[in-house]
This record gives sequence, structure tokens and C-alpha cells, in this order.
Amino acid sequence: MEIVGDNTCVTSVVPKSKTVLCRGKPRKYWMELQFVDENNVPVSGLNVSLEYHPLATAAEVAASKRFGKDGYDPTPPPNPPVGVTDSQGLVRFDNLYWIGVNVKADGQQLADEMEQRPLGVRRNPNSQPESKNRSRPATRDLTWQSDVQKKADAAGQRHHYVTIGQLCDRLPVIDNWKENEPPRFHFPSGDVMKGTPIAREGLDQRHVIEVCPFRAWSLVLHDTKDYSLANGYNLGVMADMAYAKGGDTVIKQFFFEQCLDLSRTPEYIDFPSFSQALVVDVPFSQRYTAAEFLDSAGKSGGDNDRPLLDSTQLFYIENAEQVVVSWRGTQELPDWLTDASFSPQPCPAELAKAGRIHGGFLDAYHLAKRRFDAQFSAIRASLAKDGKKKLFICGHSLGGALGLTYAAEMKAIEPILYTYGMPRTFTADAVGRLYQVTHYRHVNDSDTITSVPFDANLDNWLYGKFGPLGATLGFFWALTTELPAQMGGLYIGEHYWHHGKPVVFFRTTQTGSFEECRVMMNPNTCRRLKYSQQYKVKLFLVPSMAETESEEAKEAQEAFISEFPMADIQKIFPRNTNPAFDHASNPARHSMVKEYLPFLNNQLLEIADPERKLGRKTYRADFRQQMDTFGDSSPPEELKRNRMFLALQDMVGNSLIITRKYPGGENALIRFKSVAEEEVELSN
Amino acid sequence: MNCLTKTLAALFPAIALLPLSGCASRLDYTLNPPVSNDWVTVTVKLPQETEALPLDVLYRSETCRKEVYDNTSESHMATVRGVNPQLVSLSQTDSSGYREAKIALNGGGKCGWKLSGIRLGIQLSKTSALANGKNIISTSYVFDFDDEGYRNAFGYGNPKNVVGNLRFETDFFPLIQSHRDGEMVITLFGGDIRDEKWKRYYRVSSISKIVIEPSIHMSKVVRVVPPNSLPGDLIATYPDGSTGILPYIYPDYEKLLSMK
Repeated sequence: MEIVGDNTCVTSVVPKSKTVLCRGKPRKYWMELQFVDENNVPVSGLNVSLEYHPLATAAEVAASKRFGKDGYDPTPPPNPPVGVTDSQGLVRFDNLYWIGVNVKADGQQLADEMEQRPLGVRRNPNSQPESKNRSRPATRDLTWQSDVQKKADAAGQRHHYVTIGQLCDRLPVIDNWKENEPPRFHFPSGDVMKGTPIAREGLDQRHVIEVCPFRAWSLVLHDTKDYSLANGYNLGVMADMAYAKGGDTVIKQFFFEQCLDLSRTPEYIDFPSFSQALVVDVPFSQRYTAAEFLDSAGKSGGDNDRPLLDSTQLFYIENAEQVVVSWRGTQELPDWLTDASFSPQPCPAELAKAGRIHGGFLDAYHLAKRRFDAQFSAIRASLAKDGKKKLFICGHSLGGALGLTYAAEMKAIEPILYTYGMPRTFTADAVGRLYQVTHYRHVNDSDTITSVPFDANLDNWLYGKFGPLGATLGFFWALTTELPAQMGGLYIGEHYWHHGKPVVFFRTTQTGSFEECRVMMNPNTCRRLKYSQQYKVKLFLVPSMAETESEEAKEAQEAFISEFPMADIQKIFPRNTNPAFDHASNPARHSMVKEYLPFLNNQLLEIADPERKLGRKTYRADFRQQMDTFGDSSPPEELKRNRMFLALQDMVGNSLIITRKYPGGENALIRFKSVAEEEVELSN
Repeated sequence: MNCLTKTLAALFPAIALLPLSGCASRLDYTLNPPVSNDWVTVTVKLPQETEALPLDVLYRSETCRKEVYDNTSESHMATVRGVNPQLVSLSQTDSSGYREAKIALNGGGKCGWKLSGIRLGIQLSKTSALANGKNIISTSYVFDFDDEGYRNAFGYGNPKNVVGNLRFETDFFPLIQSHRDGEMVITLFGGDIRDEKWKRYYRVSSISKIVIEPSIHMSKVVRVVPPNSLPGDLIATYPDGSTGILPYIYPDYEKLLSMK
């Protein structure tokens, strides 16, 4: 461009305008845009358009109007033609004016393509939407750089990290999206499609545009009959979440906000436990579409029923592959009273064709079923639809008993049930008819609740002893007066049995003994004294892993069986009841948040991150050392048992093989270990 | 020994009565609305073979709080507002076919009960020919008077905010849903309630009148059957005989509306 005439200007008292002529064409600029996903894989065949920024803002135009006659026209030149990205994800624009542009892409095409791209492992903390919650503001880290960004910087290219909402030229169709506003994370500016701005200083350069895939988080839950630690951990977090006092608000925040926010993995904080969910990314269309908390308090009964004041709570969630129903345990006083009404009732036919069920649990179950008939019917319809969704059920304490009852009703579709510290629920005859339910029953050492009701026909016994009141007072009597001791040999009639395969958190001790003699060297004055040795260790025992059918675990399993015959295992872990513990029954072992969850968290962390130093590993090493050093003075049976326990503990890692093979599973574990911390395993 | 037995026998009634008295003081659930009160009137008119359930009315109280189990401290340290669920019957049908109930916004009483939610359930009556041999599930209209209301019970998703009186003339179609075990469920279908358009869940304010006068198209029955073997689809048969695969678990309401 050439300027004709004198373009200098001298300020005078009476300024006059001066006309300068331009001849020839202005210089043109180029720009290259490369579209990639978080794994630096190009996005090809994408229709990309540029929009020039207006030449001035409305305020500037108004200001100029005040001085000049007509102001000036801020309309930019016509936009350059649309480009299409090549196999490198690259599109080049030439002949651009020296004006800033907004980069936009075909919204539907972009959304469809980015749904299929997996996320990179590391999450960008700076992509999180503005927090609505003032007490938890968004946390950003401006020094954070993605792998794509490091590469672009090294090549001297400009880098932009964007979500699809920052590129879309129109709102794509989102299946089943019922909100007025589009999803906040992917569409940070709502339904205004502004595009990604590039200032004119960015012309004559290549820009790498890293697009966050259009994905959502989904809990890692495996449809397997074998024990899965991923299931054990995630369903444990769900069982704990059923206790949330905020109910609906907490559940919805987790599944509809955190699970759609890809700047970090979802977490559930229930002090002192900080549970980082183990999640994989799935296409946005497979996200959670239902998350409902149901509380029967405040709901009256059926049509001609009187309002009841006690309550049962549960929540359910649903996405493309899973339906999770989580039952709350004992929360309010009336709930506890249901534990006291021991009387076993004949099983309704839909649960089991024979046997009996704990009367209090049945009442609590029926309460929920009756009040939420519409929701339960919807869950059934949804599970029947295309048969792709797996039903997972979980619960802690009474919630476990309700979960098992629900699983009994749904047994035809073979649900997967994980319970934590559940009491006995059904009698032997009924338990035998629930074989279709894959059930892993977590028992935290000597948790009292897992040993009530006792596995004898306690009801009859109490009735015989105390008359009609016996059954009512039974539970409290039992706890305070240690009934089981009095009941030796009373195993008659229908017994309460535990269902499912146990997963036992066993606080193991080693017994030592020494001889004490009153007169030195005189064996007649000696006696043997027993004591518990210094190091105790809590072990994660999954006896069923000795009988797993998975190919990968076969070798470890065969080695285990050759050392510890099945008969020995079954002796220590008898079917349908708890093993004998080294510690006395203790209600403090029952806490989900202080006992079960931290232990699951630490076990998962240990396997996900084998390099990490953990207190629990040190304790175990000490215990092994103690066994080697003082083994001679321990009872041989106990020594053998403890060796078996340690071998079982070493096998727990195999329960994550399925997770590592699952699409995105390895990344899920990497993300988990980058945010999780070792927690205190023993609350007191 | 004998003496000990006697003492125990004497004490036994006392021990037996302990659980009846309870540990926590009982809440006072009686309502005593003040005379100068704000009321909301719910008026319902339904066609033959359908019925309205008694209104579920929920009061909450700031003063009479309920102790809840606190998972962290493992005690009943935390409290939430006390709840007082009531069933309120609708009046007898008047000459023009209307039934109504008056609900006090301020429930009064020692606890100062405040209206938190109202739910009206409608369903096919048990005596109707259609419902014969099927489980009847009611369909709800839910109104929250505070931010909690029936959120954790009858409500689905987030309520719609409305100010002022409400009148409904919803179109309902009998929906017969078969389950895979042969159980049949019948309900009145008024659209997928996850959809903002068909949702019948409201957060109300400045309201004194709710009129519900739905048109129920008894002869336009839609049936949903599950697949015989999995995996498969849920198939709906519409009143005009046409069939369609369900995108989720609900039939196409707009299609039904075109057939009414």
C-alpha cells in the first residue's frame, strides 16, 4: 500500500482536517489453524469458518459520531470462505485483512466427532466453569500446560484449549438434554455461539486448537461375577452417598454437574473421607440422565393408608450402561427400631419361594416399594429396554439388607450387589434361592452389625425365655448381655444366613507364648503364657479369589490352591456366616465413612500406584517380619492361617485386571492415583 | 436368689414400658391454623372411571426439628426441619362435578407448621374395566411451597417456578405397561415428565387457587411391551394401531395428542 501526499500533521490552534490518498491494495495476511484432540490426534474434514470482528465497538462508533459528521461504519469486510481441515487437521486461510477474527466450526459435525474421541489422561484445571458455589470457588492453575500445548510452544505455534461450545457455530442436538441452558462445561457461554477469538496480532501464524472431547464421566462398574475392587470402591462411595443429608441436591450436584465437568474427576467429600470417584470418560450421549433421591419421610402411605412417620431412603442413577440403586442404612431412630423387630416373616413369593425374611427389613422395603411404585416401575422398564443396562445395587448396614431384598426381587436379571456391614436378612431356605444374585458382602473385622440377627432361631429362643416381649427387646438384650454365649448348641429351626461371598477386612494378630517358671530350671513350676504380639495388621481378604475363573489370575490362583487346599479355606471362611475374628465384636467397626471407605480407598490406591510409599505397606512388612522371627512360638494353625491371609492379600491386585483391560480403565487408575491420598484405616 | 428373681419380676413391667416412652420427646403434630390465614384451594374435576387420591400435604417446622443420624459423628447430632405429612380428603362431589380441599399455608400449632408441599395423585379407579388385573400407579401433580417441598419424594428433577394461580387441563391417556415377568401396570400418561414441557412439578408462590380439570381420553389406550428376549426394544402400540420403538421408556406424547 502506498500513501500519496504529505501525511504529516502539525497541531495548530485551529485544526483542519487533511485528506490523504491511498493507492494500491493493503497487505494481506495468512493464518493456519490445526485442530487436534487432547491426544494430539487431528480432527479432519471439519468445516471451519472465520468471522471478522467489527472494526469498532458500539461505544467507539458513538464517540466518533459526537466529533465527526457521520461517524464511521464499523462493518468489517465480508468473511473469508469456509475451509475444511485436511488429514493433519489443518486448514489455511490466505488473503486476510488485518482484523481480528472469531474461529467457528460446524456445531453438529464437531459435536458428533468429538463425542467419539477419548480424553487425554491429564485434566486441564483451567477449563472448569465459574463456580456457582461461593464457598468453593473455582481453582485454577495458570502454570498448567497440556501435552499438546508443550509441543505447540516448542514449535513456536500459538495454542488454544477450547471446549466445543467455544467453536460451535450453532447448538448441536444433544439427546435427552432437558435443561434450558446447554451443559455448562462444554458450553461456557451458554447458548451464545461466539467462537474462539484470535486477535489480529495472531495473524501470519499457525494456531493449534486443542478441542476438549465432548465426553462425560461414568463410574467404573464392571459386569462381572468375579470380585472387582473398582466395583467395591465405587459402590462403597455410592452406599455412603445415600447418607447425604442434602439428599437430592447432593446426588444431582455429583451426577449432573461434577460428572459433566471434565476439568477434574468427581469427588465426594464426607469428612473425614475424601472419595475420588474412579471414572472413565464416555460419549456425552451416554452420560447420567437420571439421578433421583427418594425419601419416604414426608410421604403418606398408599391410598387408604395413614401417614407413617418413619422412613426409608434410597437413590438411583442411570446412564447408557448402568443403573445403580443405593439404599440408605440406619439413620433415624425409627429405623433402628426396625432392627429390633426380629420376627422372621415368610418371604413374599416375588422375593423367594421359600424361607423367611427379617420382619423389620421387609416392612422398610415395602414402605419404599409402595411409596415409589412409579419410580421402581420406570427402573424395570428401563432395564428391560434393549437389555444393555446392568443393574448394580449397594448399601451399608440396613441399606445392605434392603439392597439384598431388592436384589432378591430383581434376581431374574442377575443384578450385581455389593454390601458393606450388612446384618443377616434371610433365613437359610431363602438364601439358597438367591443364587442368581452376584453378591459381595464386605465385613469390616468385628463389625457388630454383621453378626445380627444371630444365625440361630433366636426369635423362638427369646420367646421361650421372655414371652411376647422377648422378641421386641431382643436386640438390646442381645447386645448388652452377650446372648450368643448363652445360646451355645441352640442351632435349631430356621437360621438367619448370610448371602453372598464375603470380602473381609481382617485385623490379624499373631499370638506368641512363653514359659514362665517360678523356680528356675524346674519344669514343675512352669506355665505357658499367651500374648498378642506387637504388630497387628488389617488385611483385605477376598476368599473367592481362590476360585476365580479369570484367565489372568489363574496362575496366582493355582499357586495359592496348591499351598492352601480348598478345605482349609472353607474352614476359615465358612459359607453363609462370618469367619471367627481375632477381636471382640465392636460397633465402632461399623462406620462406612471411617472404616469401610478408607480401607477400600487405600487398597485401591496401593494397587493403582505400586510405587507409592504407604503406611499400610510398612505395617504389613513389619507383620511379616514378626511372623518370621517369632513364628516358632505361635500356634501352628494360626501361623498357617496368617500365611494364607497374607497370600490372599497379595492376590487382591488381580481384582483390578478387568479394570486395566476396560477401555479407558488404565487412565482412570492413573487419574485416581494423582488425586487420591492414603486415609486413616482404623478410626479408634 | 429368690429375692433377686422377685426384684427382677417387679422391675419387668418398668423395663417393658421403657421403649414405649422413647428417648426423644415426641413432636406435636397437631395443626391449628390461625383464623386470619392464607389458604390455597385445590379443585379437581375428573371423568368417570378415574379417581383422585386424598391430597398428600406436607408441613415442615423450623422450631420442632428432627434429629438425623450424622454419618460423620455417628450420632444424632444434626437436625433438620421437622416433617409432618398429612392426608387431606377432598370434599364430596358438588352438583357440577367438582371436589375441593382447602389447605392452610400456615399450619400453626405449637411447632408453627408451614406448608411445604402438596401432591395430588390421580389414577384409574380400581373398579374400571381397564384396570382389571393390573397394578395401578398414580400420576402426580406436585406443588412445592418452599425450596425443599417434595423434592426428594414425588418431584422429578427441578420444579418449574410459577407465580400466581394455576389451572390445568392436561391430556391424559391410559398407558398399559407390561413387565417381563408378566406384571401389568396401568397409569395415566401425560408426557415424559423429564421434559420441561410436560413436567407437572412446580415451585409456587402467591397462589390461592389450583384447578385441575384434565381431559382423560379413556378410549385412547397406549400399550408398551418389553422385548421377548434381551437385547431388544420396548415397543408401543398406539390407539390407531400404529407401533413404534420407544426412544426411552415413554411413548410419544405428541403423537398421542394428534390422535385425541
